Formats: sequence, structure tokens, C-alpha cells
Amino acid sequence: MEIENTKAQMRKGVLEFCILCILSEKDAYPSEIIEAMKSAKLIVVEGTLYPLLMRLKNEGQLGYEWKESTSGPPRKYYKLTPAGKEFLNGLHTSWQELVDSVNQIAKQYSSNTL
Amino acid sequence: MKNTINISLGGIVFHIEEDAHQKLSAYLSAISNSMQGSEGHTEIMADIEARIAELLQPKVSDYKQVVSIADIEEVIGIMGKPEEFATGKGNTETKKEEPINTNERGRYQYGQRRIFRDIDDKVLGGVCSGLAYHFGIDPIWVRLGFGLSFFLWGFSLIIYILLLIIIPKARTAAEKLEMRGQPVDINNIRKIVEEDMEDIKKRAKEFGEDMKNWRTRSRGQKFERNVGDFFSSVGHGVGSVIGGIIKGISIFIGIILIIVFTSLLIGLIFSLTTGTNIIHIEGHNGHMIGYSVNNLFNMFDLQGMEKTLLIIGIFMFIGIPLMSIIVRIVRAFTGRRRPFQWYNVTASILWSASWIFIIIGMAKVSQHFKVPVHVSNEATFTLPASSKALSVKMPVQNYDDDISIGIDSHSFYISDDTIFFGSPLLCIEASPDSTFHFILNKSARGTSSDEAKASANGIEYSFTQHDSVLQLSPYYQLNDGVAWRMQKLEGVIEIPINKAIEMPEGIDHFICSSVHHKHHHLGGHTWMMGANGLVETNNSSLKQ
Repeated sequence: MEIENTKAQMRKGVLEFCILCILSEKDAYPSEIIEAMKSAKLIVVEGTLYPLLMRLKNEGQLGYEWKESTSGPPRKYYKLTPAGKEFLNGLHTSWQELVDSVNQIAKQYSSNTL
Repeated sequence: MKNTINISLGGIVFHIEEDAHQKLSAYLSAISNSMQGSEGHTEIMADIEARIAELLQPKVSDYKQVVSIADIEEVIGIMGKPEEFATGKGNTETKKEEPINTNERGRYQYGQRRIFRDIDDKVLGGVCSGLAYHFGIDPIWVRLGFGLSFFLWGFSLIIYILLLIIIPKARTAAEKLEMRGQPVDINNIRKIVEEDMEDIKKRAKEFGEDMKNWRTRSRGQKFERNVGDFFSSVGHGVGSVIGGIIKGISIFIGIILIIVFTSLLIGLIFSLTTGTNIIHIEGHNGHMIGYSVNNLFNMFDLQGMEKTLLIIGIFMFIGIPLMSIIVRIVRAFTGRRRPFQWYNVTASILWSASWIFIIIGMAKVSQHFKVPVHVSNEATFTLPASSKALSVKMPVQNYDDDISIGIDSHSFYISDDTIFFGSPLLCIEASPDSTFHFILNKSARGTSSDEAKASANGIEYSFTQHDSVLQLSPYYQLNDGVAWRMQKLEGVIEIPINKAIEMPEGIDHFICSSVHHKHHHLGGHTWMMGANGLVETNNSSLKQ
């Protein structure tokens, strides 16, 4: 149970960054984002996504527009705002740094366990 | 038959069974509650509803027009529990206050701090761990401090007992928080209580298991059980006292071990660098003799590279295992399972390096012993006409105060002031002429034959001959500044045919093996040199 919780916390931290990355490629509506995240095994339950999207929107990183859908009601398509792009740039650099330093530390562990 | 309800979800109409509807609306209101107060709450709810609608859409078709409870359960499984929706900003902030990590004491400087005894983490009375909490350090240091000062000044025991009486136990959750210096708020109290409950649960489980085992063992034997109950309750009390004592003793031993190994390590460092004595041996007369590794180096007259290599090599060779033992004890004490791998890796690399250092150092040292050289000094003396026998005298030596080290056949002794000396070997041969000869064969080794010769001539051996008495010294010395280069001294006494020699008691120890082989007890007797070697005679026959 403890490890599940920790894993979830780890994932939670990077969700925001991942959402922005996905949206930097193309505009998407929640189900598409969820698909992308699920295939990358970043999301276990969808519930986490909505509050995040809402927060990013409220902070001005994201905007959305309604688009007609062929099957069913119109959908909310999210897109990065210019501020969001800048925010993503900042996140990307610090992500790289984080990956490097975490790998550096994790390397000791993996070499020790060999 | 079930009633169905029509609902509109994200702009789509669904027929839904009644129980499924109840489940769905309970789910939605739970999500709504969990996000109450966060920004854009209604909008999120709308999005979630739209998503649920999207997920439910493929579930209904012309054949199955109604949404069932199974469908709702599946959707809930995909969307996640209401708690998991809470990733909003407000939530992450409350998270920050939460980490209560008992391992990281002293990090929580805020909040009112009071001293309590920590009865959850106690060795004796929890005084040390309570103090450790108060000062924000690991309790091991406080315990170590108490343990050490107890041996240096006994009154720390009294202080401990006083503290035990004065400081109250941390009983309630609030007190425990005050002890840790955490603010007493609902969240932290809940945390503490949870920790306690966990503990109690574990103990209860163990107890239950004990009981179960015990019961099956003594089923139907009521009397026995009653007696057992009584003894186990007494035993429990005694057991906890004994347990405390054992715990105390093991900590005591651990502290002693740490002290011993640390002082060995420090001694090693000083011995290698400054020449402080590390080994003290009490001689028979109560005189203390010590010598250090540095003295040993001086004796070998090592310098520069080889000395550095050997010092570092020996230091690491002995020091690293010592250090590892200390680390191990400390680790066992603190109960830390933190990966100490970097230490193990470094230690083993350095230790292997110490081998290489020592081998290279030894190889360099061995250069000093490359060339062997023999130097001979000869003394000739004739006996007065009146005496037929040469009387050899040698004082009984007393090496009690000295440390004897034997390398091969080169035994030498180290005394207080690092003068070292060895015993000469005495050989007895037939003289080629009619006079007595005493030949000193000195041998030594060196990098070159000149050096070896100098080392050989550094042997100082004193003997005097007066009339028919040859006074020998039981040992030779090396002159000041002469390094030990396997010096060896052999004294050959040449006796003319038909002349005799009188040997003192205790000389056998010095006689070279070729002679000793034939005559085990030369000492205390007089010997005549015949054509085929020594023959024992008696004094009276010689006098005539």
C-alpha cells in the first residue's frame, strides 16, 4: 500500500508537465489526453486529470474552445496559451535537470544492487 | 423487473436503472464534495459528467438500451475514487505540512517544544531519546555521551536517574508532539494516534499468536494453565527487567568495543607517524617497554618512497578493517539500514590498494638486502705456558626487559632506546697452527657490496683476552646510525691440537649447529682438541 501511494505521488508530480507536452504537439480534448497518458502508463484513473486541466486553465497556461464532434455533443479542445508555452519551456529545462540528478543518484543504487 | 430513470449527462440522455442511478449520483456528489471550494468546481464537474457520458455511450446499443449498475461500477473504476480527484492546488499545500518522519528528528523546529521521555524509543527509561528529540539530534549520540561519561565520571549515572525522575513520560499524543516539537493540531494528533494504533495492532497480533500456540500446547490441562498463567505473568515482569539489563549490557559492550577499536585506530596513526609506542609489555622488573611501528622503520632505516608506501600501506591494511568494525558497530547501534555501499566499495578498493602499496614497499625494501657480504677480523693469542686450557667466560644475559623478534635465524632484541642487538654464534674448530685464534665473521646485506660491508662493520662486539681467559659478550650491538641489514656475527675459536678449552655453563645456546650437533652439552666441561675433534677431558688431568 505504501509503495502504491509513493508511486502515485511520483506520477502526480509530473502529470502537469506531461499534459502540457501532449498539448504542445496538438490541441486535444480530455479523452485524447487520457489516451496518451494511459498508453504511457502515467495515469491509472482518469479522475486526476480534470482538476489539473482546470487549474492549468485558471492559471492561464491553457485555453480551450468548443468543437463539434461527429459522435455526440461538442467537445472541449484544450490548447496551450503563449504563457503556457513559456511555462512549458521552463518546466522542460528543470525536468532535464531533475532527470539528470535523479539518474545520477539512482545510478549509485543500481550499481550497488548489481 | 427494474425501474429506469431518464437522466441527462453531458448533454446526452441515458436510460438508467434505479440502483445504478443511486450509485452514480452518490459518486458524483462525493466527487463534488471532495473538490468543494477549489476553483472552477462546477466546470470540473461538468467535464467529469461529459467524460462519464462518453464512457457510457458505447455501453448502450439498440439491444441493451439501459445503463446497469455494472456499467456504472466499470466507469467508476476508470475514473477513480473521489479522493483521487483531489490534485488541485489547495491540496498540495496541505500535503507539505504532513510529512512526519520520525527518522528525521529535529527538522521540525516550529511549535512548542518540551522535554519528555520517549517511551516508544527507550533503552532504559527513554531519557536519552527524549533529550535527543529536544535537541534535534540522533539519540545514539546522547546515549553514547551518557555511556562514555558514565565510565569517565560515575556521576552521570546519578544525573540519569535524576532526569528519569524529573522528566515526565510522553503519554498522550499531544505530549508526544510537544516532545517532537511539532505543532499540536488535529492532523498531527491523528498521525500520532495512527502510529500508536499500528503499534498496538502489531503487538496484539503477536500476543494473539502467542496465546494460540500456547493454548494448543496445553489443551485440557487447566491446572497447568493456571500455574502457567501465574508464572508467565511473573516471568513477564522478570523478563522485562532481564531484557532491560541485557539491552543495557549489550549497549555497554558496544560502547566499549567502539572505544577499543577507535583507540586502536588512533594508536595506529600515531605509531606510524610520530613513533608513539603502541605495544607495551611489562618486563619482569616492572619496567615498561614499548615500541612503535615507527621505531621499526627507523631500525630498518627506511626513507623516502619506500617509507611512505609502507606507512600508507600498513595504515590502510590495518586501519580499514578497524574502521569497518567501528562502522559496523555504529550501524548496529543506530539500526540504520541506509545504504552504506559507498563506504564498502571505497574501503575494499583502498584495502586492495594497501596490498599493492605494501608489496611495492617491500620490494623496494628488499633491495637493501640484495648483496650479501662477509667480513672477517682475526685475533690471535697464545696462552701462558703454565695453562693448557683456554677458559671461556660469558656473563648470563638477561633479556627479560627486551622484546625478542626472530626473523629466520637472525634473532634480535629491541630495548627501550631502540638499540638492537643479536647473539653471536660460536664455532669451535681446530687451529691450523699452534696458537689460539678468535675469528669474527661479520656478515650483512646491502644494495651494493660497499654498503653491505659498511653495515657488516657496523657490528660492534666486545671480547677481551687476558692470560688464559677469553671474556665474551653474550650479544653484539649495531653502532649508532647503522640500519639492520641482516647482520650476523659468527665467532670461530680455533684451538690447536692437544690444547683444551673450558666452556662456561649456558654457552650451548650460542654454539653453532655443526658443533652443537655433535656435542649437546659443551657448557660446564673442558674439552680437548684431538685429531678427530673435541674430546671431553677433566680439569685434573690438565693441571698435571
